[in-house]
Amino acid sequence: MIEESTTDTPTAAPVQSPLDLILTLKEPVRKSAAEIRVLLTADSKGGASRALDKVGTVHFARFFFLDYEREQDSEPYPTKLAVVTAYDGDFQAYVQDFVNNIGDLFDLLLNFVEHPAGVVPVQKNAQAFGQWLLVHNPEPLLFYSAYPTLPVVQILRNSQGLMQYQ
Amino acid sequence: MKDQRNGRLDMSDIQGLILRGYRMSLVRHFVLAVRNPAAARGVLRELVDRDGDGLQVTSAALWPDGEKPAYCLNVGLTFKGIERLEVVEDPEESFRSFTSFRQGAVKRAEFVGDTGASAPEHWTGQLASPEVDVLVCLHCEDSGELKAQSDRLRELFASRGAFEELSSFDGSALPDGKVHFGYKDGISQPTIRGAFPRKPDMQPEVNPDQFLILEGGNYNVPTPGEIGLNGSFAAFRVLEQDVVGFERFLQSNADTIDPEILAAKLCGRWRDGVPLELSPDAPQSDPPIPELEYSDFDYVPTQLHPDIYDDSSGLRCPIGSHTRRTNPRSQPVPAAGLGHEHRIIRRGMPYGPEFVPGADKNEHAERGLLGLFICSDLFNQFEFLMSTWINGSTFAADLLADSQDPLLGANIEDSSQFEIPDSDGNIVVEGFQRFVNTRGAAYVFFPSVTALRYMASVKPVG
Repeated sequence: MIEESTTDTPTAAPVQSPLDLILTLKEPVRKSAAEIRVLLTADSKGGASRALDKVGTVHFARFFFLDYEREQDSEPYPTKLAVVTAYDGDFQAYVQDFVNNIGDLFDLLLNFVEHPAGVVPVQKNAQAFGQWLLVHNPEPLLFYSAYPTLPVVQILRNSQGLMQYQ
Repeated sequence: MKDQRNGRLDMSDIQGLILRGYRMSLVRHFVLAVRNPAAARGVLRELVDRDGDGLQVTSAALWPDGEKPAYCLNVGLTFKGIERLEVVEDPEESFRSFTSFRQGAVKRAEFVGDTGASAPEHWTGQLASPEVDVLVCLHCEDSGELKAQSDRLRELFASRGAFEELSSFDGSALPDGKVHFGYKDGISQPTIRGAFPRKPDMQPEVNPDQFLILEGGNYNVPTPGEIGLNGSFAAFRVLEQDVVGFERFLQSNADTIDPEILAAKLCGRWRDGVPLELSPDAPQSDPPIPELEYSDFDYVPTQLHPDIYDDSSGLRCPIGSHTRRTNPRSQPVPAAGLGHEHRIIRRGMPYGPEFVPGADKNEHAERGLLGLFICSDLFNQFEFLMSTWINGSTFAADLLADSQDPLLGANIEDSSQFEIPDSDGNIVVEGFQRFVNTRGAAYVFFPSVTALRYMASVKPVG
């Protein structure tokens, strides 16, 4: 499923995996959309980006709205939130670290998306939360990475090394 | 049970070996099956009956005048044991946060690398049996005491058909605090806020809820609170060490690297315990490093310690060495930061006769370590260390792909590799076998004294 790039070393195994979610916004949907927008775009102390820095296994993460509804005489509004990421290693192994760093944000987000009982607060229920995410993670038709054997820690280390020569 | 809210730990309620290394010479671990739940609950009650004159579970309270008692006794329950004792209405629900514990060591064996010769089908002492319910740990200073207390315990286990003893495992300390493979062990342990002070180690204090079940931890406390609070979990492991193979491996690379230097690079410490970070070239420096400071180092400079040597490259201590893998300290790894949350408390006792290379007549005697790896979250602490840091290679930069911990990893001779960074050109040693094989394991819960009393009170005792 993971396509190997031509720069791959034959003996190293791919380390990156996708985690993709399509989350359904809770009623009232317009309000949920507005709250989520604030949560993800507000520039609070660290924000989602700094939390993801600290986790250190996430290559990238995109959050965006999907499935807009159009009603007469009003602005279209989204009904779903998509999360698209690639991360290193075993997802469940890092789920407690992940929620320790970004758990507060997810707890707030989960107020506005459909989710099963028993996952909130995520920091106390990390494994159940992780299981829920994995169940909803679709198997992609294609997952391409230009460097599938390189984890985030190695990429960052390599770029440190290169900086010395600049 | 005392009030937890003021942040003080109730030492007299917590089982001693969670927070204290007893430093006794002998241990015997009894593996028991519950045969009569009511009688078994009666035995538990007797073990915490402070007014009786029977053996008593040892708490973490300090010993009067610091004098070691004649014995130390602790009791752990597997999840099956908790079910069989019938002390919780809905054990699955009560322990819902502790998935690995509920599944048990046999089901989790593959995840932690207990495969091949280490797989449960090769385990001894019936530890792979679904009847493992209770682990009783007896520490003593001398063999006379061990026999006397064992006899008393065995009488108690058998009373009214409470338990069947499936097996027992004996360990005895080697001179100088060493373990088989010749290293001094037990140097580094986490410093737990509110517990006993420890030697300086450049690491942040750890939240006690990572080693004790407390309100506010990253889990749902097992219910009722009397059962869960002040308890902890442990992986009990019987670890056979291929001592002969290890020494042979060290010697076989003697043309490339001095065997004692190789031994140090594999571990991260010289065999006398001095860390490579503080003394990269020889086991002792001049002036010698005091033993108190054997853990007082880090791998990279931090805000608190900006002037220490930056060993990002692993020139002093290889990134893949055993102690660096199992505790990367401030080295950048995923989810580190101000100290990571994958610490572990280790209690271990060697078993088998001391091995002296060249002089040994019983080369083939079985030797190893009886270990207890203690934490509040087996999945995120013990199992994380095994699967991600010991048997994985993607958690840190510059580790050879698919490489594993040279001492503890599930190494295969055909593919094993260990890289030693060196300013004259990196050295790669390869072709080493797995040196530590698991001969048995169990996941246990060490309940508090309150919990043991409570368990004995929920239903009639026999």
